[in-house]
Order: sequence, then C-alpha cells, then structure tokens
Amino acid sequence: MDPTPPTMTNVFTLDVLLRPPIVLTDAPGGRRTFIPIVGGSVSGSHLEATIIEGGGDWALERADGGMEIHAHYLIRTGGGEVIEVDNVGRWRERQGGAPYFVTSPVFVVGDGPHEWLRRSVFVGMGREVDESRIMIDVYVVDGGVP
Amino acid sequence: MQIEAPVLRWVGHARVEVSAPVSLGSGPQGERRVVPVTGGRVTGAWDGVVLAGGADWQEVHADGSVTLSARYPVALNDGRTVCFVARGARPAAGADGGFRTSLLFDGDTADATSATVYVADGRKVEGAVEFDIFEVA
Repeated sequence: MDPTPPTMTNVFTLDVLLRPPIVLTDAPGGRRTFIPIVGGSVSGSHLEATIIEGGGDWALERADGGMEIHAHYLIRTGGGEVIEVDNVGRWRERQGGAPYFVTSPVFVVGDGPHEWLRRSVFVGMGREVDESRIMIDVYVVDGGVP
Repeated sequence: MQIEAPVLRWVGHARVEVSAPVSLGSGPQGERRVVPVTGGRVTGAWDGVVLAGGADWQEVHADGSVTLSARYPVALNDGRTVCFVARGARPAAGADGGFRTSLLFDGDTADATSATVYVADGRKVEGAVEFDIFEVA
C-alpha cells in the first residue's frame, strides 16, 4: 500500500497585480520574460498583508513548451513586518479546463509572529484572473499552522 | 472561479546519504552549514541513483529549527540525469527528526517529471535522510 500523503489546509490567498511582461534575452533552456508585480493583497485566516510593488516573476518558456514560474517579491503585514516571498512553480493544463499553475512558495521571515512561515511547507494553486491579475490559494502541509 | 484544492499522490521514495555538516559560522538567520550529499537511491515512479556532489545548505535558527535548501543530481535508470531541488524545514531537535520539504526537478526534459511540484515527507536517520515523494496533482 502506498504511504499516506500529508494533509493540507488552505491558509491564505495571494491576489497579485501584474504589468505586461518584459521580454528578456533567451536562455539556453528557452525564452525568458520578466512580469512586474505592482501590488495586491494577501488575505486568509493566518495572514493579512499587502504586496509591495517592485518584485516580479522571472518566467521561462521552455523549448519543450513547459512554462516555469520563479516569482520573487515582498509583502508587508498589518503589523508592518516585511516578508520575502520566493515562489517557484509550473503551469499545467487540465483536460477541458483552464490552465492553472502549481507552486512551492518559500517565505523568508525573521523571528516573531510570522516565523511559522519559515518552518512550514506550502503548496500554491494559481490561476489567471485576467492579463493583469493572478490569484494563488496557498495550502500548508499539515502540522505547519501555528 | 475557484481553483481545485491540490491532491497529493505518492510517486516514490528516496534515501539520500550525507556526510558530516560543514559549519560556515553565523549568518543573519542563524548558523549556516553545508551537508554534503554522497550518494543514495530513488525508487518508485522513477528508479535511479543519487550522485555525489550536491549538498543541503542549511540555516539553524535560535529555536533549533532548520531551514533546508538542497540541490543534488540523480541519474535515473532511463538515462536522464535530473536535479532534485528541495526547499523546506525541519522542526527543532527533540522531535523525531521528521521534516517536510517542497521538491522540484530541474532539468531540460520534456516529460512530466519537471511539469509539477512535489512534497517530500521524511526523516533524518543515521548518515542519511529518507523521504516519500508526493506529486501535487
């Protein structure tokens, strides 16, 4: 029998505002673009924050058609703490459904009320709302919630 | 429109052998150390051998919890070599050595291996870490 997978709990949603992509020089593995992140919000039972303008997604369209995500940006909590978000993922397609993406977000955070973010492992499930906005539901792998 | 919740599906098991940590002294987030990967084995959906040469770059925080960031090559039996990229955390010592990481495969490959992200659920044992690999579907 296969090992039992860990359970996951939805802890917050990232609502991310974007500007049009900037095309970069090609990488050996494919075509690179930078998608500026200009704002947005984080809301949920365990985190409330705003997204700080200035980060972005260093995206790679691989030669084999795969789309890689590597987003790096900052969020500021209601208490004023700034947290670094490093989110790596892949676009996927579901038969008959809209494209979506899965990510492994990592949060760089100091000691304090949000330090659980660095002790936990997360999965993000994302979708495009329109060209200038994506939303990512973030799940914590069990045991990680404070 | 809501995205469906992620589903974790077991795809394999890994045993990654390591040698003694090398300390790099204190950094802003705690003691930094490098744990060299010396070998190991992957079984399940993919079979392969963990190659020596990669490492786990760790930060040991004041509370004893550890932030992990590992990269190491794995030679699969089908002839491809992929890079395991693991990022995650281990709670403070005193627990059972259990840890969770996110895991992805970095490789210029056109197959499903690099088309999603994974979650590793494992523990530290003498001279190695062992973990089950779950695909996020």
